[in-house]
Amino acid sequence: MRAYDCCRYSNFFDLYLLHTLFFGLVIGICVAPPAWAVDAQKIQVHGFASQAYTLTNKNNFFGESTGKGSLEATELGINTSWRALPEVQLSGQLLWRKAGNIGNEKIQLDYGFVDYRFFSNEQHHHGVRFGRIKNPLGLYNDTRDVAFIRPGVILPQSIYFERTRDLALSSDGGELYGELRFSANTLGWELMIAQPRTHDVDTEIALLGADRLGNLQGDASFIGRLIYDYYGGRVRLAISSARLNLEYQPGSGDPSGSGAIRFTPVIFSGQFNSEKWTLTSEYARRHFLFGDNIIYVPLTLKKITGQSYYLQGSYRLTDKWGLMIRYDVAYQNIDDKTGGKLEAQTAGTLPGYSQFSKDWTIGARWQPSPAWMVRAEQHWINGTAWLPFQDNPDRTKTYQHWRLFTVLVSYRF
Amino acid sequence: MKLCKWLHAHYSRTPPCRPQAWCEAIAVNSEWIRHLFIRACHLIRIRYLAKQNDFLFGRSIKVQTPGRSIARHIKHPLAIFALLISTYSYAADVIVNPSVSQSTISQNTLRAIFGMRILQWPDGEPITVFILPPKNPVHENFIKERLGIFPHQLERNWDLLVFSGTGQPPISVRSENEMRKRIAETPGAIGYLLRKNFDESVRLLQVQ
Repeated sequence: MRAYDCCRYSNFFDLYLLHTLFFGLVIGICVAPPAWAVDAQKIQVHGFASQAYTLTNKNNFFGESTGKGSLEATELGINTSWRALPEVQLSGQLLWRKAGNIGNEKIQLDYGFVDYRFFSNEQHHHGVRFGRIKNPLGLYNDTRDVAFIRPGVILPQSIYFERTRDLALSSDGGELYGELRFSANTLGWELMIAQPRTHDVDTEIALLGADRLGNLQGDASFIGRLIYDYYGGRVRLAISSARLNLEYQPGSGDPSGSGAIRFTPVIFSGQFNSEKWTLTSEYARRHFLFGDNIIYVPLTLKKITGQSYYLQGSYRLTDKWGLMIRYDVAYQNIDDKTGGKLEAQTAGTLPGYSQFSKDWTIGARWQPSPAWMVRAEQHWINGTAWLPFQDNPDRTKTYQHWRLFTVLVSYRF
Repeated sequence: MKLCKWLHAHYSRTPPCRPQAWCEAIAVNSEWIRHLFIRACHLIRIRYLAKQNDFLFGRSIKVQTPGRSIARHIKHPLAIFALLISTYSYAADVIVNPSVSQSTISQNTLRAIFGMRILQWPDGEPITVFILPPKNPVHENFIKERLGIFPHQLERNWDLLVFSGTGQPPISVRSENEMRKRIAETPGAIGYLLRKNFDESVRLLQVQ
């Protein structure tokens, strides 16, 4: 399955970035005046650890979750940031993650970049970042692996798919950003030109249906986000979009030819915050365009548009206790919402219910101290649109109606 | 003035009495006064006035309102005054290191500073933000009253900065004494203190 993992270009890039960051920090500390090196206020280290238990009645999510449940959902992260100059900050985060059979279990550089704020005053600031940067998509993508910031154990899967997470996670390149402040309003913007991370087999599975003989490479891509914020987040509105360009290069004996794949998601986000309530909603349209010579596309479609949205309400009972309710919908193809056409064309090997999902969720949060948090959540799900193939290799043995229960314990510092 | 001294002696949280402090106390505690007014109106059966109190007092935006149950237990009129002043003294004031040249600041700028969005003073000096631990009543009250936002909003924004690498959170200190000490010794520092904990080593920044 993963024969070529060791010799992929992106891994070299990983190492290269890691070394640059590490030696950059070491040299920086040695060369800088001693006052900076000992100034603990300017260097900060933070981290998180979380472990979840997942139980499903049918279908597997995060490991073999049916029956006795699964403990194969672990997230460990440690980050450091150093404000070297008032205008310059270096940041990096290492991440280790186990999520059933999704992803590789290696320590990854989640992000590592230099941030230079070239202009700032009371009304606005603008800057630039170089390195591996979190993709600014939606409200939660930047911090999707930090359980404390997520609104539940599992993010709304219609938009924050587990199985394409690597593609969405972070990219290597540069970003321009800024913020304008006028009275109680804030307008933030980010524009990124970067190469998406595609070394994961999972991206191939998600886009091409299986781990194919060839290789997916990331090309120069664009990601942008505009966030409007009223009164420190009382109302928050955002539009984010991306044009992710990938190139499929066939392997030896590959029946498919080479070709480009273009993924263009557009996400509209809105959030309202009061002292007790947080109401959140996001709507996304996901456009896929496949090159003519790629044959691994369901229905031999060259153009597919997916649609996702969710509505979510969180209520803070006290500082320690909170409740959450969410309705989350995803369609893989807006021209075939029920999946009937696909099922007919594939003679039932790809069931229709794999083309949509409707998920009702209720959850509770208990936070005994600022550092510790426990969450529990129950899902009632119709459809398997976001069910990871990696945990369910035989698609004829999946079920349309299923339930998921999960408990998560998280610690941070 | 005698009453002031008596209150100060018996309720150590009350600030040393100054004539304008009473006016401020009334302004800050308009919710209490409105509440007492409504109860009085009900008592002497002027329902119309009780309903029209919005017209008299304006629509309230104060986050902390006294519960009915607390008011019911207040028997002694002096206890009401003591409560008025103790709630007043909880709203901390913004203080800075004396190196900071400006003497006033807008609430919006203040919110951006405590949100770790503005990192330098207009003269280029780096800002160091100090806070008390979240859940501390002085911290919560400061965020609500002086910044006009909810503590959970601010904490979430700090978490976003920390875990996406795009910023750093403020420095948390254990007590107000430590806060005063750290602000006094850090050029460009900003934080907050209750008025009774001020001294000459730090400077008050007036919020406009």
